[in-house]
Amino acid sequence: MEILRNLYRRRLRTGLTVLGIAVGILAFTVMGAMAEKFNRLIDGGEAYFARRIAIHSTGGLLRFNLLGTEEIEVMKRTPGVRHVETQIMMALDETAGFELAPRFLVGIDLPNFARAQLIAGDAARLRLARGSWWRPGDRGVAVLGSAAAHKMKLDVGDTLTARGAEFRVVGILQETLSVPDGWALIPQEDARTLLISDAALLREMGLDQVWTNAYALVDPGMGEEITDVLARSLRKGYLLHSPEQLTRAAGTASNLLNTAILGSGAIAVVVGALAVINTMFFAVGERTREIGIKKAIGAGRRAILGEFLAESVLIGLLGGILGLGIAAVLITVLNGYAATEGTPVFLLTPRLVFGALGFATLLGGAAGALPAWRAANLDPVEALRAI
Amino acid sequence: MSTQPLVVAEALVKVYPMGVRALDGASLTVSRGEIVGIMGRSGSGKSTLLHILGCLDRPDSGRVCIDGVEVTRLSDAALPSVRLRRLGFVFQAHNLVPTLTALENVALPLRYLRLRPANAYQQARAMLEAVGLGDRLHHLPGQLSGGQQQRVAIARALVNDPALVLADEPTGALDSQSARALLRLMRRLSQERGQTFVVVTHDPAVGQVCDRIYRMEDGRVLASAAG
Repeated sequence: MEILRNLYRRRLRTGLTVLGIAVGILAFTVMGAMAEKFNRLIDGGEAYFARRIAIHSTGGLLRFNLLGTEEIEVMKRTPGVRHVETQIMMALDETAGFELAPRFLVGIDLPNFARAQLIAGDAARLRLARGSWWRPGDRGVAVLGSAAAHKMKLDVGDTLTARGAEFRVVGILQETLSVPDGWALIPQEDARTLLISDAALLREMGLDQVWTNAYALVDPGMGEEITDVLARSLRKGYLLHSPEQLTRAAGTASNLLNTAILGSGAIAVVVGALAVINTMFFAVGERTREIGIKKAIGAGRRAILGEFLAESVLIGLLGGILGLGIAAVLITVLNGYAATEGTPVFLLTPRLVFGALGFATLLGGAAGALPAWRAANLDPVEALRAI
Repeated sequence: MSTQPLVVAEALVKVYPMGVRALDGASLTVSRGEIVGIMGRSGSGKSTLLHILGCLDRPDSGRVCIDGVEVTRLSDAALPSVRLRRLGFVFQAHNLVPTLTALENVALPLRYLRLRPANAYQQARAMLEAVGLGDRLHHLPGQLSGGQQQRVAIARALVNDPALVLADEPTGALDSQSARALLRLMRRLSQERGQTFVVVTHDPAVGQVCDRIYRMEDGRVLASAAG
């Protein structure tokens, strides 16, 4: 009670200090929520690519490096490759500019896709949230990833118009927090038609058995080795990524992000801690007489230390709660806005909430330690001279 | 009750860093149930003596016994406990913690003694009633007059039933009427409870309620005289 009254007595100063910490924690939480979202995306991507060696055509002006049946056969014959998943992938809307979950039209052959799903394992499986898959042989149909559906406001039964063609939406995928969220899966033949219609040369050459990218599905741990073998067996002009490379790249990205959070956290520490130290030193100076009286009537060092520490911890906790509250509102608003763009940008996880609160409290305590120590060690005679 | 003096201070010397001899061989004794006044000009060493008797400061040499305990031999860490259990303090002004009510201020020593809150507040209430402030329990110091604040301070000094109450110019900030009321209260508490007071003062009116008065000059205690 006394602690609250002491804080209330200096409510302007307390308020400003709490606000200082709140701003730090706000920055920490918002940055952290963004990082949590990206970490989740990266985790989702890692799961999806855990058993997939990605093979992309490097494209080129004339699109000579598309994957043809010959390359697919080379891959299939490579020992250790259990299956080759083929895709024809192109931007859904080339005018869209930057997108957090880029939208792609992805042409697939259902039996080929289904087998890849089976081998890739549970964590990498794409599941339907609504509707159904099309039947083999169907044309002009699409199954949409969650972000793509959200962004284009499409549901089962609606019509997707992309690159001048129309597709009836038959299914919507569950959110994966990964790349497939931005996909519109369509029958391979439809995709190939779109691809070739864009490239007169291909049409002229009659190359109708082509794919833009393929995934060689391998057993866990075999990725690196088989990638090397594939790189030697394939013609030049293809980009190969082993699962390990993707994991390493993802690790780098997530390390960068985590460093960014720690960086913003460090700023929060410095700003917040300075504010608390300042406030608590003021409080000790202002209450020197009171400390003297308390010591005279028998308060031990521990009692005085505890009192001031409790105050600074409370300031930290209040700042944490306030900062977290503002961050939660801000994140909800921003996510609401981002959702109309396809995918929420922030993810407020329980560990982030407790982390931020714990961090604020610890910060308050640490910053209050020095002033509290000084208060506890004041000489009672000196302290009593103060008015 | 033993007939031994409650307080024995012998040959106290205290020299401050600049070479000022605040105490220069001061000695005194205080018997149980007495009100003893210490008078003298400012700079005569009264406050230093009070601080040493109150275990807030240590002499450079000499010894102090309070209630049979030679406090000058105790470690620094043991002194807060002596103050908490055996001593009470009343200062000139600003005695109270401004954020605590009268009741909470009086209960403070009992809380430091780790009494249960209900228990502590019950005793504090009784003590405030004894000093005539039963109707001011929940007032903050800022809502009380100077005289009332000093009575709260006396209630707090007495609530832990100390052997000795030390008062430093307790009437110094009061008007003469409040000062007289406070002195009557001290007199009454001394008679009713056998409470021992040592009062440092300039105020001749205080002298009138004292059983004995020590005069101080240049860090020495001169002979005592009846009040």
